[in-house]
Amino acid sequence: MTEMPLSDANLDLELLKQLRGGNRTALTALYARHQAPLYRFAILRSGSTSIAADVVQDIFVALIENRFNFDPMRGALSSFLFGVARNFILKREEAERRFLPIDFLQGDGDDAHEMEFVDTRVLPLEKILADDRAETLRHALAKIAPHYRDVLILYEMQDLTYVEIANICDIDIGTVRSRLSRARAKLISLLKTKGITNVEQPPSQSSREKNL
Amino acid sequence: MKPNLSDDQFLKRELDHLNAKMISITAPPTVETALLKAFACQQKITNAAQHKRTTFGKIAEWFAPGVAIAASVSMSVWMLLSLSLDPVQGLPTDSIGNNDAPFIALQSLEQIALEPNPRLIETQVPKMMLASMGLSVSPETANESLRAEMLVSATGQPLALRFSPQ
Repeated sequence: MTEMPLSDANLDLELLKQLRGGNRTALTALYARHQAPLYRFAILRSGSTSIAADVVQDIFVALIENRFNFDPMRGALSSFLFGVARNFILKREEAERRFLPIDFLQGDGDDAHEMEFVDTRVLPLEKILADDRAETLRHALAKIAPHYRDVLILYEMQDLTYVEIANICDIDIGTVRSRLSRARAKLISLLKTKGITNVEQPPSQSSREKNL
Repeated sequence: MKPNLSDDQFLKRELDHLNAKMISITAPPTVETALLKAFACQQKITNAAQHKRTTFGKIAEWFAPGVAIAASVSMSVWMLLSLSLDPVQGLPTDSIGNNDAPFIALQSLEQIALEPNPRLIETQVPKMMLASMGLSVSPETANESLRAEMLVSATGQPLALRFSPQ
């Protein structure tokens, strides 16, 4: 009888169990499975590669030390780790007082008095990508208020569902939708002010040669 | 002429572009190196804690029948016992370790478990000490001594006691 391969969620659980049992290979496997998406999320969220590296390291050290209370009934390990990454970054930001607590923290910020934050201490952001167009978008993302940025990154860049994002950000699904909608609108507006337009891009050189 | 993209299409195009440029980005190798070191440290801590638990568990097993007696041992008894700790010379050492009698704890089990280098010595304990520990002693034999094995710390502090076959 052929053994069914473990699903992603079950594989993570098995690796976690083996890690807690002192299996070094389980650690490297878990790390290989989750480090890159976490690192990319942390870069987009914090704007800094060094902060992102610290966050990833802190997450896995906490896993090694069994400091997390992960409940598989509440969702996948990957979602849980995104939530941890987000919280670690939030704590760093609170410690550095990069963002002042203002009105929108009381609700979801969808009122007329919402402020837009620009983190002047970080800008200009370190150059991470060689591609200028991608960097422009990344900079525009950094300008969006954190609670909108979280939802946008998790949905658009990490392909998480509304339910997963709601659990990670500790908000309801309706709030996920509204923040996503506003974040998208804000991002579009910022890109257009940077000169990136919605004119359809011309076909690439290789495809033009094919058409001849 | 192709119409402009809708805002949604425009944003999707830009986000897809960013995704494509970021897909190859991974955490620096120094992170994994640090994690493997952290793992090695954690394993040492876990193994040390496991060793202590095992030692503690074994000691607790030794003391299980004697715990009730240990509870009645007062500090004054301990001090008196410490005065009678002269290792007995010439007694066969193979009696040590073959004695199945339970130990009577003279210190807390945690303190005993934490002792890095305990040693077992043969000694003689005045019978009148048993009276101090709540055990009955015949007046005719109160002045006699009993052979016992004493678990002592590296500095000679009595940790536990068990009586040897007389």
